[in-house]
Amino acid sequence: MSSPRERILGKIRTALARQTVPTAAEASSSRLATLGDGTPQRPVWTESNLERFTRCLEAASGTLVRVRTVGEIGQAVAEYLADKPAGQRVHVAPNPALEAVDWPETLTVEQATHGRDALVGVSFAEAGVAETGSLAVLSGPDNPTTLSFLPDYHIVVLRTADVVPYFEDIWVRMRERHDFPPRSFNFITGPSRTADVEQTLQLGAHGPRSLHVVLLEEAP
Amino acid sequence: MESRAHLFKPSAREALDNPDLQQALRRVQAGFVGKRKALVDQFPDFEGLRDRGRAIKDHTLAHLDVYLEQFEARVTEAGGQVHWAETQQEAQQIVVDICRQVSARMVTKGKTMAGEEVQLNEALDAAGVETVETDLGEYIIQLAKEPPSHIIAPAIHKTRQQITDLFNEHHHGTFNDTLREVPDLVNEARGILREKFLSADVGITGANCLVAETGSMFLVTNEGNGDLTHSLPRVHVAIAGIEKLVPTLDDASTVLRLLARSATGQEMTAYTTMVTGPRREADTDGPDAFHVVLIDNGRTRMLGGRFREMLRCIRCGACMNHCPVYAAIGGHAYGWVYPGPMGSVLTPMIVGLDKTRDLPNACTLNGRCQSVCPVRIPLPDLLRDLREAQYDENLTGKPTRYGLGIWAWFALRPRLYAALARVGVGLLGRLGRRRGRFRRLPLASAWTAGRDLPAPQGPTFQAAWRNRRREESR
Repeated sequence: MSSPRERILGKIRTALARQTVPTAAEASSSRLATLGDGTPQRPVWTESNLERFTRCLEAASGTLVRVRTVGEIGQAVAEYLADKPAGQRVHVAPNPALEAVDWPETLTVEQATHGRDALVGVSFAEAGVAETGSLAVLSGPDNPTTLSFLPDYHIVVLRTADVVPYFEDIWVRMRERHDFPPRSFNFITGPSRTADVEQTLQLGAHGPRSLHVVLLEEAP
Repeated sequence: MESRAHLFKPSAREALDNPDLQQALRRVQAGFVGKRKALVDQFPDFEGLRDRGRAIKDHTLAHLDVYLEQFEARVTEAGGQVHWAETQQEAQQIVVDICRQVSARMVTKGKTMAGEEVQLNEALDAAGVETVETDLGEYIIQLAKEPPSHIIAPAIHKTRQQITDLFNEHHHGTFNDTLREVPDLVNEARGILREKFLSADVGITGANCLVAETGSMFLVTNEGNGDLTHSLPRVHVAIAGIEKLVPTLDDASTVLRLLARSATGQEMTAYTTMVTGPRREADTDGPDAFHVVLIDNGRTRMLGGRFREMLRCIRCGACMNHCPVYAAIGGHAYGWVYPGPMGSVLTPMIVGLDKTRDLPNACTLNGRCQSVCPVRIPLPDLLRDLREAQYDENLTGKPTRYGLGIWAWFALRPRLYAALARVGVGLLGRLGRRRGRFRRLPLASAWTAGRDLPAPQGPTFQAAWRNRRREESR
């Protein structure tokens, strides 16, 4: 008896009236012939990429603060949390880019391996997408996925140099990495939200109730 | 869910008489339609983007075997496992077996229409596995024991009062009916579902897009429930129709640009996630195992014929948001998982034309769905084709067949047709002049039972057309 896999592929080949099955290379060149290698249709803007990023992030209810050096990140986080009922405990992704952060003594800092007990999580974004104001956060030992979803307050550090215009630019950058794709690649655009009750927008559905970006001007 | 599409007419009648539903439906139009339009208007070449979306999907469907095998190979390389399900029963069995292998007691679920299609919850219930829907809308209708009424806003038919009552009953065991505020309701569900996320053994999600290039799947949500579902339990199972495939990440970018704008009128949802395989060796969180269940369930049948175009569908819901019939009766009247125009094509294709006779006819052929479809599916044409197929398969009712036969006899004799139309229209025009409409007509009582016939004004359509042509040529 044939397997469901063989049956499904068989039915597809019958439906497509296949004589021979094209190779992956043939499919790929057929794709190129159909779609061309020109730029796909996408948004355009006249402001700078960083301005567009900021505008879109804020439109999605995210907030943003700029710092000059890695050292200043700690103070910026403390200031952001000062007027919030978030406690003093901050769970930070064990990311090399955040090692040099100078954390104020008012905060208790824990290296996070997950987000299970975190009310405040600090992650590092690989990139920002100007097109939509999205943060690209990649999973890995230095960036646990659940730290982006379980805390009430999600704080993400992003370097200004890592803001790219479009999604396609992200793929170009990422394809070069040996560990790409990671298990989980999150585009985060504002805090969690729902409109499932009478189409009324409510922030903080299951994930973070707020999203705060610390924009780092210093290059690595 | 079992199809109730054969009960379309009585269900539609009930829906029209349901004031809560009518109130809820007005919100659909106000919300989704306006937001989508604002974004589409500011996009430089949205029509070009739709063309590209269509081209990507058409190309993928024409190479579906190649890309499915490529996808499977990449998933396996990433440490995941691909399962193939030809039927609903096979899909159920695969997921139940995965749950049994890890002795799962509780499963959290992100919204999956493919899962609804193959009745996954029913199968897991029967296997003694507790399933918890985590999309707020899905959670609400799970408590109410109802099917979704919209593919992206499943509880859109529920009022705040009804949700208040459901939460009071299920969370507190009380029937206190004081109306509660939206933030209060959302917070309560958040608290209850957070516990479930943290203790689930298996997480099941759908997939908005599968990528052959990398063996990845995309998951698009606003609540973040999909991400908590795939990243916290030991096992992640994704379930998707075979038509969800695209060749490359660049193609996925195009689909995502179309999807968020067409569905909720957002440039990007809060969370768009690309998942590839289970946790890596050094990772400190994420599932140990990753499974993808690829579902046929009638799709290969559509691939070979006239209805292949329907397989381009990316499940955005724009067609139902713009459909006057959906706006009048809501999603439940359609009787199965997929409502609105896309459902009226898909349901007959999957459930069977004989069990869904009314669906292809529940359409005014106004064309709004086609004009907003992000992948340009000619929905009205497909619905017309289904009507033809019904006629060919003898599924059209006798009065309609006789009526069409009589009409055809006259239509083949144009002069006689025009003369009789002139007499008929003149007569109806005179008889109806006072009221301007007819409440009842002999031989057409079935038609006039639900609506009035406007009295004709002026000459017949053919005469008016001739006059206009004559004036234009002058």
